Amino acid sequence: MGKERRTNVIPLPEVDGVTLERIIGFLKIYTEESFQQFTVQEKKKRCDEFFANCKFNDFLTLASASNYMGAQVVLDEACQRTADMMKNKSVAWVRKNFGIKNNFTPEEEEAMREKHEWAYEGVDPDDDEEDII
Amino acid sequence: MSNGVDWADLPPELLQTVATRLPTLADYIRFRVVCKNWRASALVSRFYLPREFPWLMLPLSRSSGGRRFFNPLTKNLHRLTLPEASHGRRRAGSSHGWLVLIDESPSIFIINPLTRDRISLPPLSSFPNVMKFDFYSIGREYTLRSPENDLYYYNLRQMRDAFIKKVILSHSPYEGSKFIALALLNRHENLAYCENGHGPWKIIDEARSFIEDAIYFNSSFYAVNKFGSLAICDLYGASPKVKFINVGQQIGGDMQYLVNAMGDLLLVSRYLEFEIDIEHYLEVCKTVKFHVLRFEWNEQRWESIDNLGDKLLFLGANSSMAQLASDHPGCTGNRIYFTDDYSGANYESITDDHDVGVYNLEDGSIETIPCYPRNSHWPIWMTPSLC
Repeated sequence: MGKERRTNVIPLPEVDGVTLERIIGFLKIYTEESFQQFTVQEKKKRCDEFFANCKFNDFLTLASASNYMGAQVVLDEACQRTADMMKNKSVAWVRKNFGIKNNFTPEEEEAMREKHEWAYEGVDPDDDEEDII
Repeated sequence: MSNGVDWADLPPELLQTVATRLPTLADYIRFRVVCKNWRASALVSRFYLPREFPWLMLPLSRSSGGRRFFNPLTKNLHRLTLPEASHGRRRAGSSHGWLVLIDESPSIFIINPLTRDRISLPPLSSFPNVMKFDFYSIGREYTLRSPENDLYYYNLRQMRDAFIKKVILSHSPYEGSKFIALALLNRHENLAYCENGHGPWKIIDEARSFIEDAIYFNSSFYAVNKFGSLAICDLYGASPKVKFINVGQQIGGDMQYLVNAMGDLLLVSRYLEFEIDIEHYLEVCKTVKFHVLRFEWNEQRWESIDNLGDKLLFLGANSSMAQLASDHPGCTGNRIYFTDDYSGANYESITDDHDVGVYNLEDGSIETIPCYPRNSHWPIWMTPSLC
């Protein structure tokens, strides 16, 4: 965000209003002096509360917008939560739930999997109870 | 997607940030197979890879294919294809993610179990005290010379199991610059080294008897003897430069380990207890406690410490190492993870369970880690590394 304001309005075309409000809301809490006095657990609790109402896709938008705005704190939090969702999930699960098209050829994919076969074993079963998006 | 942002097309730095926050190496590897952009964004570099808890390489099992590695923190069992570590090969070391393998031929090599890259080290026959190697002299293939100039013979198995106590590396060969391998030799208590896998092995004459343990620390090899004194070897010049720190203090325990614990030089004494199992005519041996000391540079002596704080130590036939519990969510510090590295060269070991477990410095309790099957392939700690 710019330090000097020449006009009253700063256009942020990449960020929609709702997301912007969310980011500002979070930053407000985070930068309050009292927040820094909290212990790690208390800070985590407040972050959890704040993000509790965020749906999966919201993280995506938050992360993307934070990146654009340079709000590192929100970015880190959003990325952490995204990583937490992927933990121990299969490649197929990630592609399905993140809506990603596999652009490797079957040969390329086979070669990659052969390199570290062990990493594809022991993942969570793919059938989810509910849609997380 | 309702708000139109495409996960596949996110900027690389954002994807890298997500990938680095994944908890395990396996998660990171799978992340890189999702699509091309994800693969390109998540780099294979030490800086970005998640910190994986050390793995315990389990004994060779006839039933499953591949070698099994156990992560004591996540309790995951990983099966790796590693025919190089087959039945006849002994792990003489585990250092910076590489295993040191010896078998009944003279060859010695190091291998990274994850990438299966391998580098040869000079063969057993190239140690200065090996006068002759003759494959056809059955039972006396190696002719060796003692420091007193006596000749004696070792067969292939003795040479594999008894000649070398441990091999450590200065750093991983992946780290670019030339690595040095240091071998602790049992019988005449010698230290020998080679640079970048080029032979022959050279013996560090001045450092004889400093073979309890050795580590690479501050660009030198630190080796300790039974009394806690140190030989500090600078091996980067044309010939070794050795300095000594004579501690002259009482050190207890049956075995000593040196550890670089985040800059602190630690000496860990291991206490074993022998019991006779009359029923089975067995001598059972197990670890009962560890005593940790830290080197105080100002006083030039070892001072006892009773708490490791956030630190975890990993001791055994591997290069002794330390990790921080706070780097591994769900992990508690102040513990020593250990394996059996004292049953000696006798592969016909008949003792009880493998002596493998976790020692808690808070209360001195030991939690054993069961390792099956019980055979001559002793468990060893390994730090999985892709680069």
